[in-house]
Amino acid sequence: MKHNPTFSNPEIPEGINVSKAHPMATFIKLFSVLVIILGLSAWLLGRSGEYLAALIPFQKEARLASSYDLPNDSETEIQRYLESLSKKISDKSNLPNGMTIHIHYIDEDIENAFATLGGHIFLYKGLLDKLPNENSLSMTIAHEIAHVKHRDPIRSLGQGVAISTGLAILLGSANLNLLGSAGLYTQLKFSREMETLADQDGLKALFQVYGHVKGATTLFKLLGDLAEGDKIKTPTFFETHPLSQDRINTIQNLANKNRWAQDKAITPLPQDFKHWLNPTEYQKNEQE
Amino acid sequence: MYQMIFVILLLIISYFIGSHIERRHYKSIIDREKKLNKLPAVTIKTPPEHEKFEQQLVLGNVTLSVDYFKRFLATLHNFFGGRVTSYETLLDRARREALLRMKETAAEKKATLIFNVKYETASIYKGSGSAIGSVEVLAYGTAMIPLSPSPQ
Repeated sequence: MKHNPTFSNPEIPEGINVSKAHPMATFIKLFSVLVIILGLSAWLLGRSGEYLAALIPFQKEARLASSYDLPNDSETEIQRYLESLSKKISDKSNLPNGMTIHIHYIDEDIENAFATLGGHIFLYKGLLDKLPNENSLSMTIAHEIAHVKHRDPIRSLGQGVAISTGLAILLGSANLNLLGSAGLYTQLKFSREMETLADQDGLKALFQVYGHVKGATTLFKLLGDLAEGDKIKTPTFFETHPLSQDRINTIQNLANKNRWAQDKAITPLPQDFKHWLNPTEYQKNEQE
Repeated sequence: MYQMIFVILLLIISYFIGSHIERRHYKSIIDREKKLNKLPAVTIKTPPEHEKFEQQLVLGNVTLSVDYFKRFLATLHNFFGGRVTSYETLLDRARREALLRMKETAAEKKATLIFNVKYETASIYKGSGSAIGSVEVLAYGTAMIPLSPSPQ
């Protein structure tokens, strides 16, 4: 007897070989978890970089800074005046032994001032031009000196280096330029916490110098007005700084708590200050 | 920044286009499967002996690619591990499409059965890493074409 097999293909139900998971839902789930993991590791890397960088002695930091091209400070009146003012403030800032401040006046119309590696502080003509009195100028310098005192520039650099190293390892980038080619002129990003602490220490130094803290808030009011008036070209000084009104409130609270007077007489800027900033303009005016 | 916007735009566009194409393909696969259901394709190796047949090799070949969105999703799967769900539909569609093409060739030859059916799967992106997410599937078997019309 011959065996005659019959063949057939039954209809197979769908969804056996394919998961029910919606691709978009899977994507959102996995992507957000990845972003959280990356964010956390970047934060952790940054914090460890910051912590390790703060352990670098200031002398080493100063040597690192001197490997960059520093501006040749000409022996001008304004440079001499700013140096003597910063000397007065740094003497009252309780700087650790061996920490020295170097002031550089930059003749550019940028409303900016910043502290960088090795205790170098850059003050731009654009900002100085707008300051109404010596107290607010001193507050600016005291704030930047406080950054140097807290080692904020090297801590910020350490944070940046750690994160960019991590990124370079992750992405396999070949050319790793950790310190940046722009050198000391690159404004380091300070956290809000660093800014608030610098405000507090700066205010303390201001009180030590003048015996009162009038003029401190003038600086931040001025900065706030500048930001209001020029929304498109926000001066670089604000990018990382706490909102002006918050800063003014914090400073006033601190002054009230310590009973630091805010209504004493203001110290004017030297008579020739505007002349020092704009020598050619004034010569022209005198000739007319 | 612009690069990121570009990638996001590509992801969104490829997601919509990709899922539209996939839905359309599945619809066509299911329709054609129903139509070709009367031509069985089996994996048995010995042919039935009760009738005279002409035996012929039939092939069905397909190359399919996933969209940009699913490839991106596959790299995420790669990172976390687990089932690469975004490639499951690719392989499922490729296998069924290859079998359908083989059956269509056999149907044209008036075959009544395909036996000894086998699959070959090849990734055609060897060496180019994750640049191309394509797969090639080949289905082949022996078509049995009756020599004399079967008695009704």
